[in-house]
Amino acid sequence: MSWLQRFGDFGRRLQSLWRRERLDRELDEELRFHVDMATERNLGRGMSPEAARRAALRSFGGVERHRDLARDARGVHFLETLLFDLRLGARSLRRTPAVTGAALLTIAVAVGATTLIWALVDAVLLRPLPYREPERLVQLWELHPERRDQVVVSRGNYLDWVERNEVFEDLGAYMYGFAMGLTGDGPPLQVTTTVATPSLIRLLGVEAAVGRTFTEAEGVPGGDDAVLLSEGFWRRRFGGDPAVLGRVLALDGSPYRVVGVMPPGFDLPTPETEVWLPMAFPPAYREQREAHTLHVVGRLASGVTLPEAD
Amino acid sequence: MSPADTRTKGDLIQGTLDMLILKTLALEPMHGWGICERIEQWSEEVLQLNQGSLYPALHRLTRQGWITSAWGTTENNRRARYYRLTSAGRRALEDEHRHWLRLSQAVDRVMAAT
Repeated sequence: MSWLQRFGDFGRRLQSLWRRERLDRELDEELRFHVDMATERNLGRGMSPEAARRAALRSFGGVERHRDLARDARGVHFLETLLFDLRLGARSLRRTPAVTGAALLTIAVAVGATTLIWALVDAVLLRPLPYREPERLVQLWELHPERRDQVVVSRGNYLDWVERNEVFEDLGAYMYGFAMGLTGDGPPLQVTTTVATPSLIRLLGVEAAVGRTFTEAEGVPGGDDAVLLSEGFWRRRFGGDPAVLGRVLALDGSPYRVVGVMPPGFDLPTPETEVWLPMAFPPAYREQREAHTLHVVGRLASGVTLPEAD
Repeated sequence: MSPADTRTKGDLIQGTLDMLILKTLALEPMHGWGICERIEQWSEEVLQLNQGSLYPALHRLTRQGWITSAWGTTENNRRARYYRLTSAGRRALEDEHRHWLRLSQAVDRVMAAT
């Protein structure tokens, strides 16, 4: 628990402590009434005042026992000693104000800095990806033979991997978006696009919020005139109208059918992406290995671990 | 039962005590002392409530939702906590009474068996 939470909880338990005092007092009053009435009756029977009261109390079997039975003794006792210790501690701290002040300031700064760092880390690194089983997703790179560092993948190599794949349940690729000009349906607009294989969206396990994601047929030259819209773009340009499905948009002069809208938070590869186009590989690209442009993502088949995949 | 039969003065079984309290309150709301007196009166002095078990019983019945309580004033202008039967309590009283009858009849049958 953070300091703040502990204080709040303590405050609440203190409150129930006050209430218990009131309940104790009420019980006391109730029992006193009973004893008084019993004493009166005893007096009426001719007993002396002291004898009357003693008899009344005796028939009760001890008032303290009632109080203990009626309250949760252990919890309250702990709190009472805690309260006493705290008061003692506070008093001794007050005697050395300079040291106490410095200590408190240091703690405050430390707490503040740590909280800030963790908030940043949490937002940037630790938040899990909104994909299915993200721990099974890996990014694949080519190894540059001379420089020995990771580079993005060429189309030919990607296709080879797809063919020879034994390790991955599925492979997908995307290419960083370029801007395309959207005309018609309103003022001309430059949209940020990304090209992705249908397999990529499938292996990420994300479902379209409206409509559907790419089919395999759309990953083939000739069928690849389908597009997916980002949620933000859909709302901005089309007002969130579900009838946008099936609409034909003109991107860079070519027609594209809208087949779906992705859910908010699907930020592949960047949040600015507004439109996704399917990646198709015309035969000419099959052997192309010089231009390295593809980012490849794979989902490890169940049972395969990262070291093995290497 | 003669009033002098002191052997019956003892601890009642918990359920029986509850039943007697509920019965007393079925007549009218009352404070703890009044319940004590009323039961003594009705039983012609045979049952003298162990006051040590009365208040725990009242707490128990309150927790079970069969009675509720509120502070009030007596005829002598003193402050006392008055207990009242709830509708659940009224139903419980009938149940307890039925149970008690079955029990005591069974005991009678056993004792009359020879």
